[in-house]
Amino acid sequence: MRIKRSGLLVVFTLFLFLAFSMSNVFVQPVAADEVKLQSVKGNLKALANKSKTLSIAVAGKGTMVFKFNDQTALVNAKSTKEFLTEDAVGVDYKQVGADNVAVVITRVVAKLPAGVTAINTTELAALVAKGPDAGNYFLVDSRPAGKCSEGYIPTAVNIPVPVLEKQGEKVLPADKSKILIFYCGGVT
Amino acid sequence: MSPKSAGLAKKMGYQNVKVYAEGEPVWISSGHHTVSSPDFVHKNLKANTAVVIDLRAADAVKQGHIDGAVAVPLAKLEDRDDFPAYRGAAIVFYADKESDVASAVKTIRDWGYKNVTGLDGGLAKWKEKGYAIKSGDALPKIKYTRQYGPGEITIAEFVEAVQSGKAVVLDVRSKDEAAAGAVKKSINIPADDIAARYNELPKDKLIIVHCSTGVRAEMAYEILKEKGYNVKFLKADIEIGSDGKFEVSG
Repeated sequence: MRIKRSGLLVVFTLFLFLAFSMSNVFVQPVAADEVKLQSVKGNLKALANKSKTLSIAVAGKGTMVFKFNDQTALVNAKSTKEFLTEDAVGVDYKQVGADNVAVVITRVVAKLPAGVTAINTTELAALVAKGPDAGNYFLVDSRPAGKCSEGYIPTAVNIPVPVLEKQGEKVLPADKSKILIFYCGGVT
Repeated sequence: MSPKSAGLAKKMGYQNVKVYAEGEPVWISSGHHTVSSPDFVHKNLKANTAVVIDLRAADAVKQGHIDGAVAVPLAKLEDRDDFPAYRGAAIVFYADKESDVASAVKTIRDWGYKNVTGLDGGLAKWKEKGYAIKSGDALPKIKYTRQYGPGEITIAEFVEAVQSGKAVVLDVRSKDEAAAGAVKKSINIPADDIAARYNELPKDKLIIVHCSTGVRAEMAYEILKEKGYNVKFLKADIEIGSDGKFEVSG
């Protein structure tokens, strides 16, 4: 009995093994691990935790849709719930069957030029509450005019990057010691 | 964009240059409000693609208000039931006090509206710009016409398509969600399966995609469009009963 039973087990295991390896051979010709990772960068269009999919707008490529799963690594974020629309993200992905599966999703963090410091929401809100005169600041929205006009931080002045490049100091305050704050639609 | 501008300013000799790297999206998600430019509001008010609300007291409104605005004193905001069904509608507030605008924005955002702002400079800047002021009564009812983005279908078109059966209705919710109630004759392919199963769909018919809010439907739309399908999607909240009856809002 004992031998018979283990014999059955061997046959069954062998069958499972065969079925499994055959499914790998015929259904998925390339094992997932052997697929080379591809990388894209873009701005997050949508992220659905219900279907574990996200879409990003990639310059020159249009919208790309990715699946993610519990194995997907996140960089600069603890959970996919932290991602906001328009966030700059990088996705390292592999093609599994018909799907693009995200292996790493990176939230791109701004690198500040030398001598430039960061200001956070609380600090900025305290300044905005005082106003530009009492707060001794000049707040600049660097986004294109169309996007900015829809909604900007109170007291901000819209100076798109090309305008600043062209006009320089003419569009900025004369007092060079004034707090000069730039912002846009998150990291881009 | 902002780090680049900050770098330029630093080179010009500014000594105290800062970057608010989180930017406008985090400013909003932290509970602060933004303001819209008078030009933007004027253009959209004329086209009925923005709702402008005057929060001041009735006598101030009578003396002069933005032509096209609806007067709703802050205390009465919660009583209004005629705000647009579409939660992406642009809603703009102005008042005497900026704190009134802030609390109105907060209230409306709690109802799920995503594009709620104040009017930059309020009535004073509006006048400065030379835009129309009207005395007497403000408009009694909120008027709003939704503008549809590429691939979006109107609620009316969606209802018509389901009733006529001329289009293929594709439900991209999960199997479980679809099992609890689905639109008559709809095909269920969960959003995460679309890339693998799109060839189950006919190429010679219009395909209309829906989910429960429009988020997953839009992603499926992107995939199908790329594969060459004639496809549209519903960007709205839809509730479907077990009998297949449905209600679309937004």
